[in-house]
Amino acid sequence: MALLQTIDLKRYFGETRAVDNVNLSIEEREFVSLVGPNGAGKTSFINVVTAHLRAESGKILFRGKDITQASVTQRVKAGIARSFQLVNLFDDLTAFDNVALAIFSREGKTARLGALAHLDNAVTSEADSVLGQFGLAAKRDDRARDLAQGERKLLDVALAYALKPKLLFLDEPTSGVSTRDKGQIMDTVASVVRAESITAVIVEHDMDVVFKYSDRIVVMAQGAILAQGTPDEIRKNDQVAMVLLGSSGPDAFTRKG
Amino acid sequence: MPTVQRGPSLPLLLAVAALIVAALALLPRFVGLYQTELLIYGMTFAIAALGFNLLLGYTGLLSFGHSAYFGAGAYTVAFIVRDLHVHSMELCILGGLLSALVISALFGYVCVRHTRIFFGILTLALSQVLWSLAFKFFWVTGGTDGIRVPRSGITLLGGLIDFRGPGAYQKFVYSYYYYVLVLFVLAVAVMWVIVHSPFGKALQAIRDNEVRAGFVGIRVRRYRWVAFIISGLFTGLAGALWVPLNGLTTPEILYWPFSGEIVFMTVLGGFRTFTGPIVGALAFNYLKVYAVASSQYWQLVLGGVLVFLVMVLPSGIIGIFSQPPPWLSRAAASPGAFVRASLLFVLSLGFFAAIARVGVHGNFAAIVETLAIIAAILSWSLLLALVYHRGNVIGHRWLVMLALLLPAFGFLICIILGVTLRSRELAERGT
Repeated sequence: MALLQTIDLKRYFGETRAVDNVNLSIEEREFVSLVGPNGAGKTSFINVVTAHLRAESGKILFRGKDITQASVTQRVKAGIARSFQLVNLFDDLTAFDNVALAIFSREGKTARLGALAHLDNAVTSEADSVLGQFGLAAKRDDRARDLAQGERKLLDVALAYALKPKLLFLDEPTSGVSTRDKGQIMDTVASVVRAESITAVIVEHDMDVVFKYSDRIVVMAQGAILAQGTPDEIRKNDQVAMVLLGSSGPDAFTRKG
Repeated sequence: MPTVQRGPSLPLLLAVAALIVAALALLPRFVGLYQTELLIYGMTFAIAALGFNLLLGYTGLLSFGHSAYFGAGAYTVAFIVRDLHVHSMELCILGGLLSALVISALFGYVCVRHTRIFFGILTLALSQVLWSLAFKFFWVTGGTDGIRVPRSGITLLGGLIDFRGPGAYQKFVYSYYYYVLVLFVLAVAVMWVIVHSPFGKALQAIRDNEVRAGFVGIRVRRYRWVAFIISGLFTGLAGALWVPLNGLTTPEILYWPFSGEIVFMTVLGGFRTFTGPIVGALAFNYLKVYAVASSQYWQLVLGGVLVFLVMVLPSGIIGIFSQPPPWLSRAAASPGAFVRASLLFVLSLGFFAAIARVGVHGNFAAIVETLAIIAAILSWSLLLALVYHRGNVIGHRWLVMLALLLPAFGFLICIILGVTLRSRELAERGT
């Protein structure tokens, strides 16, 4: 049984078909890349699956259960987490508190108003180890707004990761970071995700990154799935190359310029 | 990796808190009856502002209708005393809390569906409904005359202390001071735990980014609602404590300007800090009493302070230290700022002294005197802030600060004395 399955999922914005009858299933422990030109509906698809947007029609099945009508928090509790394309953090809280909050929430401890947060040793040590995994240990007590862009991107992912989700959506985790930091962020993310055997769906524009890390690539265009397959299959797909690069040929993805 | 606990250091905090409480407990021995009474007012407002700031500072919701919960507490106590002939203050407080709970749960349920200006307007509108009820249903609420709650109708600690017979006023002020002090300390402690609890962190997360808060699994509306109710309960407690002190409750405390005063207190102290609303409420209380006593244009003085606050010190009195505004950081880097601040301090003190010495009376002199005092307080705070923020450069920060603080305490006592004398003088003139 697929971990996530969408059936004829649809979401239009007026005439624009952001998500157009998408049928996609994602297996457990897959590392799937979602690619496509700007406006292909990648983020809209994630938004609909995570309840940031309502689906117009269609069904979303998560571990066999219909979650189409479930709220954001219900889906989070079920095990779906996401990061955001534009960094979305608790800016006035420290990096530590950002992560700790996710852990408190996961453990159902945020309803506690009679206990001191910083005395919870289990949460403190876990938050510290998550920060360590993402290389943010030194920034522990810095406010999120004071972090550098790359660190903010990492913290955004760490926040979603700290929820220990079964399915993790990462919406362009490397956008707006330098090419050098990009590799580092992706290495961190990929190793963390693989170590915890989390199923990850990642939106990414850099095809080098996509080919390097993905088990499977899903290509979207105009709200619909154009093609899907292993990196090798996608690399050889002329239609995909045409849509993504504007040129085709056997070496379209390796040719520079 | 070893577990590192970084957060507020509890022993240090407790020690400082104990010192402050001890000072507050001893204060009535050194200041007069009137000052003691003023402090009780200050503490009740501090409880209200503390509750209000759970919404503004921690949840990011600006309520313009907190008069409703203050009034709910106050009117309930008045009803209990008048209609149920219950005298025990404890039962009155319970009743006040219960009605604040019901009303804030009801109003909150409606209001937390919105944020920003819509939230503010809704809270304002709902509080005005209560005001109009108190205003129009005069056969129940006494209309503009309000309801009298005589001291003699109140007993503390389950009837152990009552206030009848001769000397009742003194007895009331002193015992009620300690009564309110205990509840004040309790309220501060409870609020401190709440804002440092996982729940408090969740509220701050909602304040910073409600979308993301939802995506880490926090039920944003419900948490806002709970915060709203807690906030209402604190303000309701303040209202209940305020009634016997004032001896009367009128629709004025349900009217929107009073909500504005609660906002003012909190912003004055600094809404991004825990202690801000407490300091702000105490300071506002003195400021208002002093302004009213010294000028019939006291609203003008308060308005001026508010404008100054928003333009120069958006982070409030406490914020000077915790979140210095950019101009302060710049000033702290230049030595000339110290000289200028000291000069301003001495000049304004001199002005104040000169006017007091010559004994000029009348509105103009009073305004100048008030301005001189405000300038003195401001320049002194500026000096203090400059030293605080330049501490790393000049070293011995705490020594310098202490040296600055000592005469300031003297100055503060002078002001308090000044207020006492002036109000006595006014009282004599009145009779």
